Amino acid sequence: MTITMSEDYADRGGRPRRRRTRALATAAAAALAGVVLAACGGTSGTPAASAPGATGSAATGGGCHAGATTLTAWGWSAGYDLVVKKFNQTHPDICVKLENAGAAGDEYTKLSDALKAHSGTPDVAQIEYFELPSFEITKSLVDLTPYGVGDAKADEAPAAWSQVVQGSAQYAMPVDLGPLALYYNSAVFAAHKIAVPTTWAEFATAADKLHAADPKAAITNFDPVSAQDVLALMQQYGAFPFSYSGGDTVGIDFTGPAQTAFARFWQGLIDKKEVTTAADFSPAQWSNLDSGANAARISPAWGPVGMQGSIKKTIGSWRAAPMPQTTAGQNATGNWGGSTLAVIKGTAHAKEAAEFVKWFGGSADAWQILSGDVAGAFPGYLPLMDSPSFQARTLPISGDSQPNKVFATAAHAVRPAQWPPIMTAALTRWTTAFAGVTKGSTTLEQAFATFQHQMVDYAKSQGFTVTEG
Amino acid sequence: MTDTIVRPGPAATRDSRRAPRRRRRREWPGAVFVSPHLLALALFMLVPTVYAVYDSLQTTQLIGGTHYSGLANYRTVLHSAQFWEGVRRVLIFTAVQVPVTIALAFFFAAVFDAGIVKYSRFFRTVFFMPFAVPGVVAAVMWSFLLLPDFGPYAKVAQSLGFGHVDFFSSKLILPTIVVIVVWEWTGYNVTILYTAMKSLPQQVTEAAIMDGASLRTIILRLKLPMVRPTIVMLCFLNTVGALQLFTEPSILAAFQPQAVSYGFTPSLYVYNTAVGSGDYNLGAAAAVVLALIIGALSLGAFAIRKRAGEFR
Repeated sequence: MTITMSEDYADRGGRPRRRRTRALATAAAAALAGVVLAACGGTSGTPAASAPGATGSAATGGGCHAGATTLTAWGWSAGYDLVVKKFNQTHPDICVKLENAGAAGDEYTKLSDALKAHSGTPDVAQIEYFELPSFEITKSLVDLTPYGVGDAKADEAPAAWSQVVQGSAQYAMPVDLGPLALYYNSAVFAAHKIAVPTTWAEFATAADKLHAADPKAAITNFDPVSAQDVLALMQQYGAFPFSYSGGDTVGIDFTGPAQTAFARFWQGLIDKKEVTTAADFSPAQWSNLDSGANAARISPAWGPVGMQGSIKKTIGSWRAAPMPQTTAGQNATGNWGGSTLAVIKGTAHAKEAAEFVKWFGGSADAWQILSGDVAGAFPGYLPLMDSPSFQARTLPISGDSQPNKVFATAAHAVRPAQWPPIMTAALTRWTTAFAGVTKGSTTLEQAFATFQHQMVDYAKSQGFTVTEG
Repeated sequence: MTDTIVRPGPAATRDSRRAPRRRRRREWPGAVFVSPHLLALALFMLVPTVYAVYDSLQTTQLIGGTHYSGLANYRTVLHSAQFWEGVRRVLIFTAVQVPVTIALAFFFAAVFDAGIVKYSRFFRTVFFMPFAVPGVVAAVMWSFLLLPDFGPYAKVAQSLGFGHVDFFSSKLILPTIVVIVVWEWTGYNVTILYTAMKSLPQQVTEAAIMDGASLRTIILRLKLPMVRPTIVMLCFLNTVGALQLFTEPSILAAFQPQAVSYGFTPSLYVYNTAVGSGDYNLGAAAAVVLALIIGALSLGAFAIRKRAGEFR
């Protein structure tokens, strides 16, 4: 997220004085950001309004009819422009202009600044599941219940639907999901005669066996610095640390029995060098997966599509299996990623915006594009997810196997999770708190304790009542 | 830099108060010329600073809204180990980066000035080029060059027998940033020093040559003392810049998130607190504290320069 902001600081204009001025300006840059952003987003009616650095915003010009209601949508995912284009073609009365206001954290920052400034907010914004409560608590999202978006419930995976409703209100329309499965290199597993583990105990045994056979090999990668990664695994393990059901009480628990067991399990594998700790999506990780240094990847459903673009040698040998379980016979999993579309308070066209988001997340037309090669999203939309044709799809990376079958089954088995309304701060602090685990200077259990302390302090400073443990 | 400290504005006003009417009328074109600068200064420095101070005295909570909280945010910043760790880190960084940059710059400026290099005009441009590259681009470029497993420098280090070098590890990240910033800023300093040397009276050098002084003597005993005021000014400029270190570590953080912590430098602390955690009030307080630290250093440096007789 820092890249976009730092451009302001980096422009030095060739004069040394600027550097000092910048120093003092830094003092108030934060305060002024709202004003500047309002200026960026305020002209949402014109195509030229897309902020510098926006990509994919130009593709929405075609297909709009004269006199149509114009909506601005913020989103960053690949392929969204194609879906919007399709919507504009099929809905003559509404014309959606898609703008890229930055990905994830960058967009949330701009959105909350625009909301504070009461100017320049879009009608619709892409928001990931974990970030929704942060906008719900500031009353920034339109309740979609009066607009009949609730009809879509029957078509949505319960794991997706439960994330967008709070009490009787519905704050967003779910789009895609990222249920976890164990994605393993069948050639490596076969070469070392390792059975696909069904429990975490078997997983640890398999890790021992693999590492004994090949000291350079680790069963998988565990990136402690990637918060979403770890939180999805904790969810799967039954150790999700947060609880929140609206209001001013938030539960934070990184030090309870389940969390401690989780920390010890992974720290044990890290200590024995049976898992690597490379940064997720780093060249090192792809190289490990391709060289056999990692025999498996705990992957969200959207993972394989991206992965096959980054590896070369082991294409064809990857298979999906259900996640290992804490207790044999269970079939629980976690969810990593996925987005929703929310309608933003202040819009003059809530009805049209609601129609758009309902179509976007819950129509066969939209999903035909979203699940295609460009977007590569995994559906939270049941008619597609459960359809034989979708489940029978193959990917070059997985040979003639059908990974969607495993991921679709997993989508029905996602353990419930409640995200707290303080995720922005949690993600900002996470990296620093967990960096020591990668370096080997702290254990995961110690990092959890530190983070527990930091988050409780932060939540209290924000006025929440905190329940621990 | 000097014009921000010895402000032409107030000085002019003081003069005009004493001066007869006719003279004041003659001065208004001057006021017109400086007004764009003063306007920009007010808009982009004074107003934001005042707003930051105002903001730093409030507390905004997700539950409970905004209320006046006096100096509470300042107390939090002053007690924040992360903030002071960042301050300590930039002070170490400054103590290394500034002397290295200026020493290198003086060496190259002297070499160019002595005319012992062929195509010196070409090389002067080459040296200046890193400065023309925006800091973000430079940082992105370096983060690729220094990638621990795939970057060319890691391979060079390996083939030289240093083993597996991780330029982004907690031990090497600060030296790595020193290298990047020195690379970016040396050319700029060379240009200023070279210009300063070019404006020295030619006769002095000629006399020294006639007296049989060596090149080394001319550079160290003659040029160095004569460009000393310029060097002092550059020390000051570079120090103020170094204390605000932000771009390079924040870009490196995007590539190697574990290398750069929340409060790696005070500017990053301000950014991560305000933007990352949404706590704009605390961020404003931290920014004011940082500005006061830099302001105190500036005043100190100014006092020294004044005692050295640079201003009258």
